[in-house]
Amino acid sequence: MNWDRLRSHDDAVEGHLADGDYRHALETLVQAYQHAIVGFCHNMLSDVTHAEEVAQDIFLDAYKAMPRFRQQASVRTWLFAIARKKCLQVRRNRDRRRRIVQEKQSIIAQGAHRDAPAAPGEDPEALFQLVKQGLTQLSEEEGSLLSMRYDTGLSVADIAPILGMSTASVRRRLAQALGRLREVIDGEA
Amino acid sequence: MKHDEFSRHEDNARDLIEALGKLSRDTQASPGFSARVVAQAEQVPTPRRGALVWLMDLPLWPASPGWQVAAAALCVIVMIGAVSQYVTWIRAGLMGVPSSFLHEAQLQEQLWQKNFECATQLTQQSANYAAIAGEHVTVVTWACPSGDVLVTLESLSESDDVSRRSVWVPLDSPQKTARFFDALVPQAFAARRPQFAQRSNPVTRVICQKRVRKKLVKRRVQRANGKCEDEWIQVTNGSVVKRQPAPCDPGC
Repeated sequence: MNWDRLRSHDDAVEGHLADGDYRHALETLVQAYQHAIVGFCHNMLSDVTHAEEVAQDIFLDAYKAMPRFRQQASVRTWLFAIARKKCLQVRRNRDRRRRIVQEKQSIIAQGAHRDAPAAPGEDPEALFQLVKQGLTQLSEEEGSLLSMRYDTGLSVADIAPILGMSTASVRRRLAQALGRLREVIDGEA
Repeated sequence: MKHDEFSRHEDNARDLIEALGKLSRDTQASPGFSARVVAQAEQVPTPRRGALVWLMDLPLWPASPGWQVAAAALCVIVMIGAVSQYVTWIRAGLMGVPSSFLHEAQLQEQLWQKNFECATQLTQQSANYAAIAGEHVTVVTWACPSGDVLVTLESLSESDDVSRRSVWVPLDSPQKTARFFDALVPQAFAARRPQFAQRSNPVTRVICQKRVRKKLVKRRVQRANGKCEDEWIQVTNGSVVKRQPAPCDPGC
């Protein structure tokens, strides 16, 4: 993600917010962040169609929250805090529904088999598939953290205010999440 | 975790990080996404700044929702807890006195109202009258049947209005106190009379008295030298705000 290119958009959004011109602020925000937010939701939800719906809701939530935007936070931090909260909420609801369905179909589920994982070896694509599968087995906290840092490309300093913790804590959790992902992949392979 | 240690963790997981970086490589918002969002936004009311949004702009206002609720609750408690103080400030403002003086001002106003008739009857001939002269001031006391005592302090300097005050001293046990004053005042007055007579002209009689405004009493007094004057007393603090010579008739 080219964050430097987005900086001018951030400034424009902040200007519109300061003027109370929320409609133009939304337009600029969507233009600048639509791909990043849809990608983030995709990682969090593993569902591209649903990700776009959730991304729309995120931008609408941001639009409604614009009067409460605090100039102390960057636009990016503020938007991703809203996105993370929304995705976690959607994911929890979805997981809850899935659990209920799985409980009802437990017998069938016992007979089902999982797709054989690809062998990572030197093949980056195989590793990519394993990482995608591995992410689903991490906690939602770990998944969102890895996605924000390494896919969306947010800095540790950007993530810290989103999660409401210090940069040292973010680094520690990122290291733990990478370790957990390695364990899961090694277990799969 | 320190930056160097974290960098080592990232170096060891470089392959994972590269794979993570491709997660949304094929994920893009579909064409028309932006237009759809803007169209949806047009369906909802334009957001407005709420009445308490200024709180969010305070530099020390917490960012996390939990702390915001706690801070808001604390503000509410503080504001409710301070209601009595606000009431005091408003009342003091309406009375035109400092808030720390409000209780005393209210008390003085009540005592003037309660003893208004009695204050009109002030005369040197009564056993309830006493005057004491000191080095710089004279003190005239007038005890009412209620037990309350009107104390008039006067500077010996005629031009110094600031030290001229008439304040009520409330007493809790009227009957006992009245008897006490009956016995004490004539003796004190008798003992001090020669000195007082030589040094000043204290009030010896109230000729007439009326309420000019709610907190202002005008009274015509006669002094020990036989001359009369009108004086305007601020009832909340007893200060004489104005005085002027007047004929010795009851035409207040």
